Amino acid sequence: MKYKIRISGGFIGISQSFEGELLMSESKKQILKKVLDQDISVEANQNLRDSFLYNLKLEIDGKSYSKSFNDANIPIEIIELVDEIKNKEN
Amino acid sequence: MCTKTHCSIIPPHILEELAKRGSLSCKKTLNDTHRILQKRNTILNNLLLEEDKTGEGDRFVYDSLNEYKQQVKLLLKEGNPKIDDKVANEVYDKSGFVRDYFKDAFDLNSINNMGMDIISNIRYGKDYNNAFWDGDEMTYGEGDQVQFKDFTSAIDVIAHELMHGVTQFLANLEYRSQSGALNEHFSDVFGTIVKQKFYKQDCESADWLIGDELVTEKFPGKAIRSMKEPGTANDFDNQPDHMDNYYTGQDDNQGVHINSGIPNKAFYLSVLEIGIDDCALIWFETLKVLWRTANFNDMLDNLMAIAKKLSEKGEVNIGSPEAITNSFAQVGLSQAV
Repeated sequence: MKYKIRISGGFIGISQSFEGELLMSESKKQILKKVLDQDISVEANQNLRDSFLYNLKLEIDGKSYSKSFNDANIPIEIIELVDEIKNKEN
Repeated sequence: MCTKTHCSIIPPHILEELAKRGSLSCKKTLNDTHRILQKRNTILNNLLLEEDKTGEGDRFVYDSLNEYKQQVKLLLKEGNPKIDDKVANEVYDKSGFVRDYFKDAFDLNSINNMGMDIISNIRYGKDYNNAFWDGDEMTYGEGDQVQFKDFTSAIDVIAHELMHGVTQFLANLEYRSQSGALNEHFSDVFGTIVKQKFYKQDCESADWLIGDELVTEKFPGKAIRSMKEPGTANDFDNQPDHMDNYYTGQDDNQGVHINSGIPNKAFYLSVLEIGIDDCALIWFETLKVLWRTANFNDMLDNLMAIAKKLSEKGEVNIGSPEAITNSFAQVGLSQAV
């Protein structure tokens, strides 16, 4: 899976970017694809302050996904993926 | 004209114009309407029909157990004795200090002046370098422990987040562009005031840094922001201290954490002239009359009106209007003639 991730905002306001490729099991890919294929239109929480903003561009098995989330609507599978990538790159 | 029951049929732009002309009831209706609409769209289906309940600002501290969830395990609630958890005890004590400051200084009954519960979530996520307010409660990460310590370690961070709640209920400043920068400004203002009160500092010896207790020695800077010298707190600090350098990009909700440096600097300069308690009162009273889309000039107009009124009543320094005028002029903001 190829990824390009930008995390911005938050109380500290310092952006972070990650770009690269991640080896992933077939079962994990299927789970991610299922999450990314959903129209994750969790109602925007307009009272959210100091949240991170997550902009993701992912490519899985040739299909591209471009998604944006904040701390109130990011799916657990995606935040865990972000953590995995951050650990790999740090 | 602008009662709660009538507000839904009055177009927002008319309410906004009336609010700008000084109608407090229209401002309240405008803010309430927007907030209620949001609530209706999320969890509560109709706040208008809900009975107003008055509480006492009880504190609740939950452990997220390093999951990305809130209210996972209740650790402490109001009146409980201390437990064997330093972070939980600290956030309980510090959020109580913030609550008591607002009560003592402005007779504000908790976040919403209705005694709303003060809910804190600690140890949110894994190495999570952030703290946020979500409209109902506060959430703190424990930091990566490399560049950032636990986000509850800094009293100004706790006051900053709690102040977002106060702002939501008093003015509901929209979180983008100038109104968003004002939202951040008010959180930094009361974050730093509470910090100075907590450490019994005076405005000349205080460092005027935001989040200095949060960063480790490995962080490339001394803090997250500086109200005294915006743009100098760390290697990434891009806050302007003058309208000449106003950020016009799209990042950070059009620069809410960036352009807040401009009014932050003006606040610092005002405090040097008339003292922190007078400024606190003037800023707090101003927040009460601002509205969702207020911009920097709207804030200055209202700061001046409030300062004039309070100085005439002898509640603040007689030189307050002039001091505020001069401070804002130094950051490139003047009242329209």
